[in-house]
Amino acid sequence: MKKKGISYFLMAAFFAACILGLAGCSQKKTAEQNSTENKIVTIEFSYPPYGYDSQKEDAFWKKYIAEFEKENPNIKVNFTVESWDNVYTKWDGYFASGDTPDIGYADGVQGVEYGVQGKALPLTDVIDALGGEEVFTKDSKAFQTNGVWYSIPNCVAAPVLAYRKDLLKAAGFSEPPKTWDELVSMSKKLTKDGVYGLGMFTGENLLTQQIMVGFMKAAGGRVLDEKGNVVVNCPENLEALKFMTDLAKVHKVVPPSAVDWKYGDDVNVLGTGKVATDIMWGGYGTLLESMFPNDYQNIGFVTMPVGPSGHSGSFTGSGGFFLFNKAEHPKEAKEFIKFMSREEISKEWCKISGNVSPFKSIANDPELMKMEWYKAVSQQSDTAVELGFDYGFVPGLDILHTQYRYSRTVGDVLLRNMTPEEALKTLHDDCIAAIEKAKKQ
Amino acid sequence: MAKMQLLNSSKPISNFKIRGQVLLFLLPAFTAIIFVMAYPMIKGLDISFTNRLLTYDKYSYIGFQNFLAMFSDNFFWYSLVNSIKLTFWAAAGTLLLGFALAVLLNHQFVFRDFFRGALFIPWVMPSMVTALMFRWLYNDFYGYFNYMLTKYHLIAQPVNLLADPRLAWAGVLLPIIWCNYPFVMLVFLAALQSIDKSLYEAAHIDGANRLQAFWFVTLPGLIPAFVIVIILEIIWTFASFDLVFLLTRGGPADSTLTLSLYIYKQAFEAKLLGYASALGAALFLILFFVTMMYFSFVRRTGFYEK
Repeated sequence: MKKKGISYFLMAAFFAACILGLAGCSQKKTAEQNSTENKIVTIEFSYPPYGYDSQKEDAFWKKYIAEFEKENPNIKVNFTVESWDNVYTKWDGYFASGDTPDIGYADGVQGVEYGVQGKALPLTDVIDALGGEEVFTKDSKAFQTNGVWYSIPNCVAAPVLAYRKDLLKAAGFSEPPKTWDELVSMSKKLTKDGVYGLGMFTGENLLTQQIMVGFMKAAGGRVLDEKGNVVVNCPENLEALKFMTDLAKVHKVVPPSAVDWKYGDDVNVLGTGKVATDIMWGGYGTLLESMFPNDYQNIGFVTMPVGPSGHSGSFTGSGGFFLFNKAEHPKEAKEFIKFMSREEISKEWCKISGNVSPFKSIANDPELMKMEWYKAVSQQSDTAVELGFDYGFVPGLDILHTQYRYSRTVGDVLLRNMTPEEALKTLHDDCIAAIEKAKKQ
Repeated sequence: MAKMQLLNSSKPISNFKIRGQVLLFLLPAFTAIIFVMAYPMIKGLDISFTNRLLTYDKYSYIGFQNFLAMFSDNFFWYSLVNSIKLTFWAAAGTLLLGFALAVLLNHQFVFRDFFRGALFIPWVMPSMVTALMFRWLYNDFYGYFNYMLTKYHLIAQPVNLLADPRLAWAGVLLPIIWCNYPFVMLVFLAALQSIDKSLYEAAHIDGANRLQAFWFVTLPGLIPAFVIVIILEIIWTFASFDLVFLLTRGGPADSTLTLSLYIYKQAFEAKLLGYASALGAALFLILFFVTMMYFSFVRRTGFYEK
């Protein structure tokens, strides 16, 4: 009887602990509410890394969060670095539960997508406080739709052409290729003795997709026409696809293993001189400098070679702050965004993260332009494009993007023995199907 | 003890109290199972009857359309066959290597304990490390395999196994076998040591040589271990995702696309959450069947009691 009494006592204690634990959670909420009344709040910031060197990036955020907290003793920032592997899935979980952080950081199209779906708050007032949309470079149009800004531009980036000065010089070239024709002829001459003329991703992944999209733009191709009809299957896009796949399949100037490259593999092959030129995100310059300090002086960066349309064209990436629609402290979160958009902070951010500033006043800053990679990205961004925001947010195009669908077209030609015409026709049909599917939702 | 009391008790009120007590103690475990297993499974099944797209909020119920679509989806059958192929070859390779090493480690030799420990390392190695290690070994520019093969003129040009659709299978199988053999080795080693030594003495007296002793004493003694290991290998490899994902993501040109990878791609790349859930339900049914076989075998043979 005594033992039974002890058992009941232990059980009661266990459940009491559970109840107290649960109560503790709500107690925490109450404490936070109280602190709001006392003007002390904690804003949650969910951030997937946008830089290329994690050590420098971590130090940067810590430094400026500390400065912000010092300037605003009533606001604390809880900074969480997310993994690119699951950040969107995690955010989807937040949206589903309604328990979201305050601030997120994503590319412009993503922010607009969330805004259009009612998952992110409009931030036009912050844009106005920062000086209006005229203070931003034209890449920043990705952050708004129909005049409503859902994200605050913080960085812009683009793939450019990196090259080995020593290898080009040894082959008798004084300058990197400026046109598609030069790219082919020079790459052919540079391909010898185990060195390939051109490094570029050719597998079915995001980076191949980005390169393919850049070539499509340089050829003057489009995905949608002015009326919103799918126009993927057009002569310009066909020329781009043929050009890209011929480099690997016909001219054989691209390493065959590029089909299997993962992030960073192109940095290694360029740094070790296994390829003479390489299409890569300009920001990798920061990584090349720390990984290959002795060879870095031999590495240069220029804009992508000019295509048949008369301009070089490149994919563009962007990053910026957005507010979750269930943000508990939107006012304080906006203060933090304004703080991080200060000129001196934006400038330092460019240096350490390998990105270009979206602010006109900094984008062409003479000090930043001294860095070759920065100059190339900055110049490239003027001709950059991201299929999807050229047309505003088009439901369905995002599916093609996450599917790496454009890169699959390259794979269809290189690995599945489809003709470029067949591969492009398939992409065209899939575009129509994806948009139709999204419309039904 | 509670059960004994329950059975011996003549007072219904007392039985009720004991049952209640038992249920209360089981409640935390039940709660955990409901939240981490039952709820996700039911939710997944629920989504499989919808046309839901990931990141799109609105969706509608479409009955069995996703399940019917599965039958006419060439990629479903293709990835299913790939999963079966991968499971067969990985299980065969793992079994052979694990068994051979177990037989070796069952003998007395210098540093035996060291090798017993060292050979177990791949089992505890995180998948990410294994994948990176093998990606480095295979690399055509600075990988060790290509360096050795070209140095000794065994191949003229470096080859990256993971970049060639015809060779990618081998590139994926090697790390899977490398990761899985230690468990098999350990099970066989334990089974070998549990074989009664007097059986070998009797075989010797009867004039059996070492090969005959191995064939007529060792192998029959290992049959339960073989069955258990084969079934477990099938379950683990068939559902495995990490190494194939980290090494090839199903490429090049879908050559290593397995069912679990196809489900991932449909859910998170094509955003077809409803269809991916239906595919997940199919994978669950296949593995459920194999797991039932495993439990049935264990119950029938009383393997663990042995």
